[in-house]
Amino acid sequence: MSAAAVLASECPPGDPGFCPPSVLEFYPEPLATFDVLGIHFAITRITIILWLATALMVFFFISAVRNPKLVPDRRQWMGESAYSFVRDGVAREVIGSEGLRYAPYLAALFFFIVVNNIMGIIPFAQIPPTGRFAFPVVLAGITYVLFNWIGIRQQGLGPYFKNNLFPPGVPKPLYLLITPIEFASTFLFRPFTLAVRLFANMLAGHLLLAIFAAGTVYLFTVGNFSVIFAPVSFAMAVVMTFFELLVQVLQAYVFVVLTSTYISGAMEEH
Amino acid sequence: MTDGRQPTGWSGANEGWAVLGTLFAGAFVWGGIGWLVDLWLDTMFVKAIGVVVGLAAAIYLVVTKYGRTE
Amino acid sequence: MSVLAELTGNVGTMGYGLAAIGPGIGVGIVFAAYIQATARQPESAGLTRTYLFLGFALSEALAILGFVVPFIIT
Repeated sequence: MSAAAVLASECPPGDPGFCPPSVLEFYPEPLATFDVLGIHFAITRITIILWLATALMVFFFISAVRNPKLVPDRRQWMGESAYSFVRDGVAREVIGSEGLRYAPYLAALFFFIVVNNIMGIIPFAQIPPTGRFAFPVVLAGITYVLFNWIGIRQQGLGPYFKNNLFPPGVPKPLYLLITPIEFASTFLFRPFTLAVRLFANMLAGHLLLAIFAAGTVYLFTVGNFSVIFAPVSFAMAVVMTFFELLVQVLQAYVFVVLTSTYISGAMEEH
Repeated sequence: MTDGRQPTGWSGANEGWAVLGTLFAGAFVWGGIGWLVDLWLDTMFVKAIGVVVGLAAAIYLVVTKYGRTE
Repeated sequence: MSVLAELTGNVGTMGYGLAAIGPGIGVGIVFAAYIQATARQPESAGLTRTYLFLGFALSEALAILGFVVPFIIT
C-alpha cells in the first residue's frame, strides 16, 4: 500500500520521500478526450462525479413529486422540506414575497452546490467538482447576469447605474474619486469574490484532507519511529472530514444567501 | 440599509463584507490607475500615491454610505 | 562581519503577517466599544454608527496597505 493508491496524481518516479498532494489533484488523467469545433473536451473522473451528483439530485427531486398526495409520504415530505428550506428560509426571508419567483433558481443553485461539495467526503469519489475554478465562475456568472438584468428591468438602464455608481450625500467633485471605486466594488468584485469564496474553500478543504490521508499512509509505511504519529494524522483526517462537511454545506448556503441579497438589492427602488 | 431582510443570525454580515470589499476595491482601482500612469510616465512612485488616495477615498465612501444616522 | 541571523523566503508575506497584528487588535477594540455602548444605551446605536464605520475603515486601511505594499515595491 503506497501513497499513490490514495491520491489521484502520482508521485514523480524515483522520489524516495513524502511527496505531498498539490493542486495537480484537480487535474487527473482524462479518461476520454474529443474535440468539437476546435474546443478540446476531456472527460475525467471529476466530470463523471459531477454527472453522478447532478443525476442523483435530479432523480431525488423528480421522484419526490411523482404522484403527489395530499397527505405526503416520506419521500415527498423530504423533497418538499428540502425545497421549502430554500424557498421560505432564504428566498422569502431575504427578498420578500417577490422572491418566490426566483426560488426555483435559488433552490437548484443550492442543491447543485451542496451535492457537489459533499462529493468531497464521499468514499470512492472524494473530490469536490466545485474545486475546479470553472464551475464557481459559471455559477457566479449566472448570478451576475441575473441580478444585473433584474435591476435594469426594474429600474431602467440609466437609473440603475446612477443609483449604483453615484451614492447620495457625496459632494459633486468627489464623484471623480468615488465612482471608479463603486463601479469596481459592485460590478467587478462581487462576482469575483462570490466565485473565489466557493472555489478557495473547496480547494483548501480537499487539500487538507488529502494531506492528512497521504500523511497517515506515509507514516505507517516509512518504517522508522515516525509510526507513532500516524494515529494522530488519522485522527486529524477524521476530525477534518466532519469539519469539511460543515464548511461544504455552509459555503453552499452563503452562496445562495449572497445571491438573494444581491437580487433584493437590485430590486429596491431608491 | 434595511436590516430586517436577512435570515436570522446574519444581521450586518453582508454590510461587513461590503465594507471590506469597498476598501480593497479603492486600494486596487486607484493603485491600478497609478500603476498605469507609472508605465506611461516611466516613474516609480505614482503607484504608492494611487493606493493611498484610493484608500482615503474608499474610507470616505464607507463612512458616507454605511455610517448614515437614520 | 559575518551574517549571524537571516530571514529568507517571501519577505513580503512575512511583512503582511506582522502588519496585520495591529489592525486586528484595533478592529476588535472598535467593535467592542460599539457593542458595549449599544448594550448600555440601545438608542445610541444610530448615533455611534458613523464612528463605528470610520474606526473600522481607518484600522483596516493599515492592514490593506500592508497587503498592497509588497506589490508596489515590486
